[in-house]
Amino acid sequence: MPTREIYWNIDAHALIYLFFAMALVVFGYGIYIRYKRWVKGRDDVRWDQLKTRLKLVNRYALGHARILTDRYSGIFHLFILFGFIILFIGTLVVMVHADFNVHIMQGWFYLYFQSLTLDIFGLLAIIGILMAMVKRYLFKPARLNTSIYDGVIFTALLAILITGFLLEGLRIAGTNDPWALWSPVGYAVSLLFASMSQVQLEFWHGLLWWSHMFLAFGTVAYIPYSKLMHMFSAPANIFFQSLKPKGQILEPIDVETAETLGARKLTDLTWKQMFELDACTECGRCQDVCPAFAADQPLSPKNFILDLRNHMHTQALEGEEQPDVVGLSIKAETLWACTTCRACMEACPVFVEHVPSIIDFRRYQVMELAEFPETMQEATRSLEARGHPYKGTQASRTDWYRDLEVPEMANSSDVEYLFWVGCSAALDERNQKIARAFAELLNRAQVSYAVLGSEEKCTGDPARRMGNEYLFEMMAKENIEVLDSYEVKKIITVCPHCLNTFKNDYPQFGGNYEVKHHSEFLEELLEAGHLNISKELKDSITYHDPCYLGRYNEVYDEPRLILEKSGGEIKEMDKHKEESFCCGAGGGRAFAEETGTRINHLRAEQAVDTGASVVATSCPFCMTMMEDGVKAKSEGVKVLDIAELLAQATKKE
Amino acid sequence: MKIAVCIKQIMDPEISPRDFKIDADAKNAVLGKNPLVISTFDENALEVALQYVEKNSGEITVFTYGVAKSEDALRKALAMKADNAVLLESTKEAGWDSYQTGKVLAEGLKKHGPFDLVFFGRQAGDSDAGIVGAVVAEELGLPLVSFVTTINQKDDKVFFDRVTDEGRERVEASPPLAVTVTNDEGNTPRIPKVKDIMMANRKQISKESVGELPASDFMEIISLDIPSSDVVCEFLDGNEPADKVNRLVEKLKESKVL
Ligand code: SF4
Ligand code: SF4
Repeated sequence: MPTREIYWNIDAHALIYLFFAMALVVFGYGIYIRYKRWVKGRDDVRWDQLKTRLKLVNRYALGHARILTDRYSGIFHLFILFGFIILFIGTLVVMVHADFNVHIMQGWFYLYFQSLTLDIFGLLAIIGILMAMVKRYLFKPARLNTSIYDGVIFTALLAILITGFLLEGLRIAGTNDPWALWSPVGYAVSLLFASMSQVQLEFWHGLLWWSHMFLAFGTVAYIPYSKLMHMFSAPANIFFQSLKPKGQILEPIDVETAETLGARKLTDLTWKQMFELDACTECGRCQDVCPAFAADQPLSPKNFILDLRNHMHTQALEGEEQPDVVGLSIKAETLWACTTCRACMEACPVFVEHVPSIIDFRRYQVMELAEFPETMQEATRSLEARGHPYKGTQASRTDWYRDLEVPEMANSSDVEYLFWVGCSAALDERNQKIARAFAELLNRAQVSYAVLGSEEKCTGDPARRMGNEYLFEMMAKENIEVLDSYEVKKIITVCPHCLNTFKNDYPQFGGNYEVKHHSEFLEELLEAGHLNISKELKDSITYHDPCYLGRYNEVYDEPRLILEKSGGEIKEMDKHKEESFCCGAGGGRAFAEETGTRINHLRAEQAVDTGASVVATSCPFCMTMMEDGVKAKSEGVKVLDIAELLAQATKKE
Repeated sequence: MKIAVCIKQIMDPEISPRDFKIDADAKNAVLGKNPLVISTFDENALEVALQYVEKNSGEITVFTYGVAKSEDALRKALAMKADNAVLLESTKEAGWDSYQTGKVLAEGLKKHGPFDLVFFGRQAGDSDAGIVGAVVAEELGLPLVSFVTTINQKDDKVFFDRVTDEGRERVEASPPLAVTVTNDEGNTPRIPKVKDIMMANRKQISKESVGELPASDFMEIISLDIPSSDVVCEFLDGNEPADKVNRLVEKLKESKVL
């Protein structure tokens, strides 16, 4: 029966169990010191819904669903991962066969799996590592930082694989293996040794065998002290990911009882927020997609995570004397540069959740220290006093419909929808046109709706993203009271930030509504024939996905359908849908001064480069940013909201 | 140092002009749904006082004269970390009579005083009169340093930086004093910390009723209305720039601007 002699030429092989036990102790200790740090974080339950979690691990860890968005990296990672998994199984087979005396390593299984499959996967692993080295050392993408440790890991892994094949070759040559051809790589290697004497073969085999073993066990012991740690922490982090809706990334705090509002010391974060620091693979994909980083602002989401990781492993994590994170490991300006666009979270292959941590640190700065950028302070004051974030606006909330037929809640009864206008569309002169266009469309389609008029106040979104949870909670409760008084059940809005707040934030405070963005609602009206296209647009249009509509609420198709049905020809930007590039307004950034390049100028350039004559968007904040950016780039290009475009296309002659 | 800061709650000066209405019979502005805020210069005054106490020492009491709702303004001041608050409560909106306001405040200050420094904003954000500080100084017999931006203390000398028509001036003066404050980069009012807001909501405010005072004979409002202005836009013809300039000069002379 086909098989091979196990432990040929090796005496005292049982010693490997001793050495392996030693490696495991070092390994275990490394995990333990990390574990001791993770559990210093606050509680969080991330192990419910076991089945869903396991499915996610299958899809994203084994299936590489996100890693493969970069083809080349995804493929080499698959090669290395599965190469080593198969080789590891092969080693277990040897153990079971030889030391547990369960004879499985024979017959077809020996030939097909233990010989052929192992050889192929071993070879793939080598190819994978070489591909990785080419990428890191020759192409040097900006997202990767290379240190000596990367070299150590490459060398160790390559050495394990190469000594493995050499051993196989020596054994084949030394034993005249009749099944040699089933191990094609090993057989090819054995040809190199054809001229060696038996004594030489046995000498080299013995030496390499022990070296191979020490290399492998050494690497196992090294795992928790190196980047290799991610082979455990990354799948675990995928398992522990948030299962809440994508737009619901912030947790309320009980302001009355909380010891600290937000995060001062690292252990004010949850254990999961600390754990994921050790899951980061330093791949830099988050940094690659970060608009703030692209605009040379003082934020790289990757460095944010790595700086926190460094803090976790070098600073005291016990008691109240622990150092402040901000100031020591993270610069305050880093926190304020984030637009909360979620691009980093969408790109991270191991599901690190950057934004909630950024906001936790902001919360402390704002609520406990009252230290935050001047312009954001102005917005906060205005929110408190006037219920909108604009300083010095001359508009009132009823201005935009002075000469339009728009019903108000206070004077209507049996209204089906509340049209929530939002501060930007109500108070910004340019964006009032969006509100007008949408109201006209609602009138045209004879929808039963009303607005709150002067009773409307900011939803509190900017307060929450800036880190002022206290103010947000007050505003949310106040608004919920007003909505309750009119028994509002269904809300439509032209602002993705309001949409997200109603849909994902207000349920945390007892406000539950059926909420739709105007793009979803208008598409339904078109579909149902309540709106008819009378005049095709015939423009080439590029559509900018607002972060809070796309990545936060996964509405990508409806705005595009509206544009297509209106006769527009869509020219996509390179970065669109899930990969859309933020306009720069989110996270309270609309109310902050920018340093460095301006994010909206970068995005406007991408839009103008498509050659489209119209830049469409569906968020009043994006409108302000894009219009400003496009103006600076190109004269003839118009920036319009989808409601404005649809209003043009459905105008009755 | 015992410090008093007098503040006024006013209708938000940043509301839309369309939301600003006047009740001609009552001779007063209509509040309606408009928000109420602390008058801006008063916030600067409080900030100067707070900074002084932080650098040196002292206790700050804020005073306001107004209806029950003015309590909100005092709570905000407490959240910014004033120590005590006194509401001189009237049953009617305080109106525009600065002299009367000054007298009421002076009585309150006497009762809770004496104070070493009494702060005011240079003028209220609604009436823009700028009289109260001087009236109170007069009533209390205190010297007045006006248009102050910052206060510094060296040993037992107190220096006041003030803005004048000519530029800036540093004055040395010894308390007790009345001070009016103008805005400056260095005295932008602070944003309170959330913990302090919550504490402020639990603090005791001493409320003293002053009832409804009879109108003083110091001033009388005869009528109150919103001035209207017209804008006429005219394009000047002319082929050459020089033509246009000549015509512009003529026009300006015609309308007696030149
Ligand atoms: S949310 Fe956006 S801006 Fe903030 S770190 Fe992530 S990618 Fe950068
Ligand atoms: S946080 Fe995620 S995307 Fe960013 S470097 Fe780490 S693993 Fe890569």
